[in-house]
Amino acid sequence: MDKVNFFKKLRMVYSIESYWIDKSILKMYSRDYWPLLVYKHVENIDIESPYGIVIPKTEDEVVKVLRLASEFGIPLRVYGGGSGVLGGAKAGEDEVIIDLSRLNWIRWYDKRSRIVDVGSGAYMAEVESWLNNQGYTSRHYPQSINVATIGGLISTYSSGQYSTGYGNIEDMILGIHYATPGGELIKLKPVPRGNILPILMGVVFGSEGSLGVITRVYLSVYKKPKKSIKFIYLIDSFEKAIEQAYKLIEYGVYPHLLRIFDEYESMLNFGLDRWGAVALGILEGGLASKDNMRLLDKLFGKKLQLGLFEKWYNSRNDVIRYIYTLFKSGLAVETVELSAPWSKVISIYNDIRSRVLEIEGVKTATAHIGHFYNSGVGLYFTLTIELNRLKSIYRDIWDTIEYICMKHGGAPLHHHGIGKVRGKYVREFLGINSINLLASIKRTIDPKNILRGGLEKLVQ
Amino acid sequence: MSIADIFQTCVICPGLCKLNCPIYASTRDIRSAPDRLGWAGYSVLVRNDYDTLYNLELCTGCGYCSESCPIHNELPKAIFKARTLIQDVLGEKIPKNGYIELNLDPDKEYLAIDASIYDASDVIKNLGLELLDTSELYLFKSYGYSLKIDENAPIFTEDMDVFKPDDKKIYPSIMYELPRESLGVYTLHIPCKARHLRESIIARATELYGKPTKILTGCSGAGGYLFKTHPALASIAIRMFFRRIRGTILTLCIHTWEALSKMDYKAITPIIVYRGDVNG
Ligand SMILES: Cc1cc2nc3c(=O)[nH]c(=O)nc-3n(C[C@H](O)[C@H](O)[C@H](O)COP(=O)(O)OP(=O)(O)OC[C@H]3O[C@@H](n4cnc5c(N)ncnc54)[C@H](O)[C@@H]3O)c2cc1C
Ligand code: SF4
Ligand code: SF4
Repeated sequence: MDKVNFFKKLRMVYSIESYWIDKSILKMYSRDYWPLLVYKHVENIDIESPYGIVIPKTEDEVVKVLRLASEFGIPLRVYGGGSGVLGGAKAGEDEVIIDLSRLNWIRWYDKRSRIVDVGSGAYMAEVESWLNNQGYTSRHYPQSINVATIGGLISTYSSGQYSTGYGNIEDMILGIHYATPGGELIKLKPVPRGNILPILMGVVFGSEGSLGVITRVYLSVYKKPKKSIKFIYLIDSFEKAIEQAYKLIEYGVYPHLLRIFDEYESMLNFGLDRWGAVALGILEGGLASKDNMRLLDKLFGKKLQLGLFEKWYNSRNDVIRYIYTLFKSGLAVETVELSAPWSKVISIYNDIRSRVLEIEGVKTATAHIGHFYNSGVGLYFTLTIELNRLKSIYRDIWDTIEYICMKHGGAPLHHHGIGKVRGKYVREFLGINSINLLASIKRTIDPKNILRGGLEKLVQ
Repeated sequence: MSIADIFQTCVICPGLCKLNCPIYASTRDIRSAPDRLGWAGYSVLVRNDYDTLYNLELCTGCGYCSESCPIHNELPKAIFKARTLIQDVLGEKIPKNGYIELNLDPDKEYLAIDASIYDASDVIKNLGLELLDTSELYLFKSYGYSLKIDENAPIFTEDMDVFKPDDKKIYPSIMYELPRESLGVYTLHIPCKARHLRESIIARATELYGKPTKILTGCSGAGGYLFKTHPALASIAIRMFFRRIRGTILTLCIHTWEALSKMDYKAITPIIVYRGDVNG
């Protein structure tokens, strides 16, 4: 590894912006939003910085960085917005970060076909506001829309608040460019559909920067719907709400946004004077019909005031308010998302909730469901944990949740990725043959193990 | 909330307001992202770690972050207060004019090379100097810490001083180290502080790359500090200076190079900082 010459060549021959001495910048990349690191940082404990930073601003520069890294054997870690919650973008002291945030162009590729060409470092909120100004929308609204880049979202296999109606990130990407660790740019032009494309696209979907660096994305976008109906109901229990949502999906009605909260989150979010589970959502365009509203009334029963919907909608991304208040009371927040088939979702929820609360230091465990499929749901737990115990019980918490989920037949992940936390669960979930296959894919694409990230951990 | 509390809140925040910060949104320099300014302030105040002290200079105090912050955290106020406090505490140690002593050995002569950019060891050996491979450090320090920004004052007085008018060697010597390949159409930028070496630089550049299509002499307006604190202003100045330029810009000013690289120009540079007296 010849880091010094790597940097010299980067700047001198290619004039690519890079740093490796200036601590004022190295320190700014010392973590992502993995809670274990966030609270370490707040508690004033040292966090190592990466060895260096490279900030390419064109696809060509990304390719050059990868070629050089390969030539000099430099381990690279891709950094998007650093909003990942499992440490995926956190580099070790010997790793060099490649920050893609300057690849941030947004332009039409084919307006008639509603395809936009976006640099992988554009933040999702920038893309959305660019589209909104022209009467369009991406309808990919992760809660982290302001802090996550489109490249990061693809590489973690993200899911947004409108996923039930519009699909997840993989349903919105029509074409993609990525640079391989050997320094080749793979260019998949956008098309509505095509054989073989899924394999090539799949290389970077969910592989968390360990098989390729996403540089350009062709995003399928929508005209902003002219018509929409918002709804909010209170149902007797979370269990009942799940059952009714199941029926709704069975009717073939997939509200564009649909979310049901367990009784605890309902109380917390809506300050209700009655125990019960809130279901809310939005029907857009053709789905926004009286018939569908009648169906919702029939299934969900008691309507709540729309003001409550608006209040939630307008503050749904304001996480700092919540995190800050809890922090001041000595509590940390951790979230875990899982994939659960309809037949198991209730047992997974009940079992996890009761078992995780037995761990000393876990104060609350609540959940909501925000992603609905024909076969099941994305189940999302939020835990509050005594700050001074966070580190010591962290693994216990994850073990409990992930193993229970798998025991019941669910998947131990949905949209946050693997990062530094989930390797062992995903290994078990996939089984040795799949892991071996992944390992040989990794070896073939990246024989020198240049790109560090989720998969790299998984196949170790 | 105390200043430390304000910074701490930004440390536990994912940086929800960062796209509202005009500095971050336009430069994508992570040091200027509001949450990272919170990190910087937190280290300085709570950990007495001054590595990120100068990052605080990147905030213009426009207040867009706290306006869009869900809890209206008063980050800009904290940044400004922290600057004053630091000034009080560190006093003399903070130079007003953008320069920090590097504690060099007075018996040695140094050539400080912009951090990592190129291997100048031969040149340094030939000149009988020590390599001070910290000029990136120098560069970052040289953004300067000044509570009062005087845009009319020359920005890098100190390093201009070390380029003595009779110093005929340094820029052209360093240019030996540039890769000897064709740049195609290129513009040569000779910065203010190397004006007196104009002829020898042009000769050397021509020898290495062929005749420059255009030669621009003088200050581009990039000054590292200006570009950090007033990027919009600096960008305008730079665009004016480099108007109607095609191809690559070969600049002998690291600050111009840095600014151009952040904009949409293709620029390369061979150098930068020299400390010591090459002529002995
Ligand atoms: C408050 C909050 C709410 C969140 N809500 C959601 C949500 O609703 N839905 C959701 O899906 N996620 C959510 N997340 C998680 C996070 O935003 C996502 O994981 C997001 O995809 C990370 O994007 P990023 O640009 O910040 O990537 P980073 O955190 O920088 O990186 C994440 C991983 O992707 C890799 N990577 C980044 N960019 C690229 C690229 N261009 N090419 C290859 N690899 C790359 C990195 O190496 C790393 O492994 C939330 C996070 C926070 C803090
Ligand atoms: S000002 Fe508010 S939104 Fe911005 S980083 Fe700080 S706490 Fe977060
Ligand atoms: S006050 Fe400072 S940090 Fe906040 S938006 Fe303005 S320049 Fe950015």
